[in-house]
This record gives sequence, C-alpha cells and structure tokens, in this order.
Amino acid sequence: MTALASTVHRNVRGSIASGRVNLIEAAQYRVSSLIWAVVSILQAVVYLSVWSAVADAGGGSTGGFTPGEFAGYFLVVLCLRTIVVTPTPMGEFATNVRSGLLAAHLLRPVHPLAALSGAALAHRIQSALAMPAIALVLMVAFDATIDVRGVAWFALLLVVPLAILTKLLADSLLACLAMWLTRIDGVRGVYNLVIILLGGQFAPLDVLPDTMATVSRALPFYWTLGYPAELAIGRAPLADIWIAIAVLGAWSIALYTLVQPVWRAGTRAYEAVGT
Amino acid sequence: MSTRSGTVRRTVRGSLAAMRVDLLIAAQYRANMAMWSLASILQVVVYLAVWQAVAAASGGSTGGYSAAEFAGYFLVLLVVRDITYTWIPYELSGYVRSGKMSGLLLRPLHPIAYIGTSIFAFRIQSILTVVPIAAILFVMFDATVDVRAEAVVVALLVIPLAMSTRFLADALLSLASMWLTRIDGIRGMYYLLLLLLGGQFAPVDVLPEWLRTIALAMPFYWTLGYPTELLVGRAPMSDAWIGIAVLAAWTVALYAILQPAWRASTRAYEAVGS
Repeated sequence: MTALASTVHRNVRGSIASGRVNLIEAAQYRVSSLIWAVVSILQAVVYLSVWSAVADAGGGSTGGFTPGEFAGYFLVVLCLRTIVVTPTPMGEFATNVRSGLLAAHLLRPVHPLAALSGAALAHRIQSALAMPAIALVLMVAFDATIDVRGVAWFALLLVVPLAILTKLLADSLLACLAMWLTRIDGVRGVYNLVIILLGGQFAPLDVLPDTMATVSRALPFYWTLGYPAELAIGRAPLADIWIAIAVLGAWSIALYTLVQPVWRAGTRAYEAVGT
Repeated sequence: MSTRSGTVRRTVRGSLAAMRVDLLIAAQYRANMAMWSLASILQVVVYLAVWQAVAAASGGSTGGYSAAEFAGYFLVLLVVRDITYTWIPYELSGYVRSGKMSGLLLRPLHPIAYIGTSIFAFRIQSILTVVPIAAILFVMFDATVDVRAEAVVVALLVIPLAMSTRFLADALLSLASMWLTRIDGIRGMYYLLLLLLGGQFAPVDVLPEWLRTIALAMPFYWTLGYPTELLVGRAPMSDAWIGIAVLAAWTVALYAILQPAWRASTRAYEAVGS
C-alpha cells in the first residue's frame, strides 16, 4: 500500500512538473496559442451560422434546435471542447516512440503517459481561463438561447471532470498502439474524426440520423462533449444525469483497467526505433 | 538556358528516385495508409448522411440539394479531395523543427519538390483505393449526378489547376515554419477554412450568403468545391471560364510569391532541432 501511495505521489508530482514545463513552453509560442483560440472560435461561429441558416430555411428549427439554441449549443461546446477534447497527449507520445525519445522517458521516475497527461491538463487550464469570456460575448452577439438550470450546472461539476478523465484515458490507450505500430497518424485521424462527427462538435446529436445517434451513444465521445453541452443549455433532461455519470464512470474504469495491461505489453513490444 | 535545363533534369531525376523510395515507404505502412483512406471515407459518409437527413426533414431539399444530390456531391468530393490533397504543411514544418531541413537543403533536389514526390507516390496508391470505394458507395447511397461531357472536359483542365493551386498554397503556408518554427495554429486555421469554406463540410449553396461570398473570394472553394460541382453538373457551363481564370490567376500569383518567399525563408532558417 505504501508502495502504491508512493507511486501515485511520484506520478502526481511528475505530472504537475510536466504541466509547469508545458505552460512555460506555451508562453514561448504565444502567437500559435492565440491562433488556435481563433481557430476554435471561427469553427464554432461557422457551425452555428450554417446550422442557424439551415434551421431558418427549414421553417424555424432543425432537429428540434432553433437558431438561438444552435448558437447556445455551439458556444458552450466551444468552452467544453477546450477543456475536455484538446489537446491530447497522443501525438507527442507517438512522436517520442518514433524518435526513440521514449527510451529516455521510460527511465524517468514519472510514468510517460502521466507526464503527457499533466502537460495536456495544464494547457487546458490555460485555455479554459480565456474561452468562457469570449463565448459570453459571442452569446450576446448571436442572441443565444440557454435555459440555465441550477441542478444541471451543479451536475456539470461532476460530469466535466469525469469527461476529462475518460478522454485522457481513451487517448492514452490509443497512444499505446504506437509502441507496436510506430506510426499511428492514420489511427489518430480516424479517432479524431469520430470525435468530431459523433461527439457533438459538428452537429448536436438530435440532428444526426438515428443510426448515427445510436452509435454515438454507444461510444464515449458524445458523453464527454455533446452531453455536457446539452446539459448546460437545458436540452438534456435532469432525470438522466445519473445515466451520464454512470456511463462516464463505467468508461473511466474500463479504460483504466485496459490501459494497465496494454501499457505493460506495449513496453515489452517497444523496440526503441529512431535516433 | 543550359543551366536551367540542367536544373530541370536534375529535379525530374531526383523526383523519380524519391518517388521510388516513397512508394516503398508507403508499402511499409499499409495499415496507416488504410486508416487514412478510412478517415476520408468516414468523413464523407457522415457528412452526406447528415445532410441527407436534414434535406429529408426540410421537405426534400436543403440549399437546392436533394438527398440523392447530396450523396453524389460528397462522393465526387471524396475523389477530388484525394486528388488535390497535400500534407506539405505537416511534413516541411516537421523537417524544420527536427533540423532535418538542413540535410534536405544540401541535396540536389529542391525540398518542396522532394515532399511533392512523396505526396504524388502516396496519391497513386490512395486513389486506387478511394475510387472503387466511392463507386460502391455511389450505388449504396443511391446517388445522383448530372454528368455532362463538356463539363468533364472542363474538369480535366480545372483539376490540374486546382492541384497546382493547392500545392502552391500549401507550400507557401509551410514556409512560415522557417520563421515561426511551430505553425500548428496557422495550419489549423488553414485546414479549418478549407473544411468550412472549401465545400467539404457542406456545398457552398448551403452556407449563409455572407459565408458564401467569403468562400468565393478565397482559393479553397475553387480547388475543391468548384471541381466537384462541375463534375456533378451543378456549376453552370457558361461560368466555366471564371473557374479556369480564377484558378490560373491563383496558380500564377502563388508561384510568383513562392519564389521570393523561399529565398527569404532559407535565409531566416536557423536549423533548430537535433
């Protein structure tokens, strides 16, 4: 038990240190961070404009969303996406495998995936500070409709951390594939696409055809982004909050249980290619 | 003149040699290639399924597209996207960050030509996968296109121009990494514009008026959405000369800018990385 506590303590300290380094690195690339923020905002604005135009053309609503509700949905997604979805430790981990840098990271006292997750979280904290203010201005500009319910926003305090945990664990599991495949950009391409298309970034779940909506509910990504957004704007029924918490809790446990043996098998398979 | 013909000969020979190597590399990463093809297909299938559902819910059509026309548009787009796609902004900025660019600058082949050959080699392979799959999906989704012989002839001119415009725009963007080292943000913005205004996310007829105006003023729609509309019979033939003129103007302008930008960027390059 002492050994376990010591491992956890070491990894938490290592992750915090890695997060600090990431924040310093991000400060070096301020323009890049700023442009990323503009990209996220632009994406939300275009999606909400297109779906609002479609709703107008369809007699005032599409998939049960009015233009005001689309605006509310996409601007909440803008905030949540920064906190939950991006960035991911996967790309950097795969690069470390390909370059051989992982060999050195394996000798460090902190778990390589914990260090990368710490860095990703630090980035999220930084982005999370700016995005809500921008979203708020855009909500006024686009006349967004949000039904604020106290219970729902209180539930978000539990749902969002679970969503972050689920996403980090899913990323970590996929990152492990790099130890066998070396190059995982194709797998990452499919993974990111599934997140965009079925996670609620491209359109709310109610707009998708029934088959796709069913697939979305069976995967974790809708629960990490689309559901919290629907909860925040007042679309998700309060009675179903426990379902979301149970689903996200189950995904976290399942993914954590899977990451352990996959990591061990991955480190045995890893052949330290690169320079 | 003889120096110029020597340069051209060297570039062509170097490109062919690099392409042979790239075809072998592509063969090594077959699963990775298959995943990329799957990602392209998945994206198109989801977009077309969603827009078909929206058209059905809006009384049969949206932006003038019926469900079958959406299927035709997105499946032709899948092929046009595959033909015009490049990943220079990823590859070149990676070389700058890792310092590998220093080695490439010493080679007799221009680094952009070197990357171009690898893209061409991968494209030969990916097109062999994407075209039959698009044909199968075409039948599955009951797609409709209005194929007109004259439009296909114009497309044979438009598509090479779209490829050169896209290649030059991507190359120009990637040069920013010689100054900035990390161009993830700019690159993200560029690909987002290509997705949203190029006709990938939705045909431009579905976009609100102000977004459509912006789309027509930028090169993205002309490299992707326009050739697709031409092949599915949506673009009027009387306007074909506009498409050709716009793409030719973008090609000439981008090529003219690329020359001094390349020279300035190689002077600015500081060989970071290991």
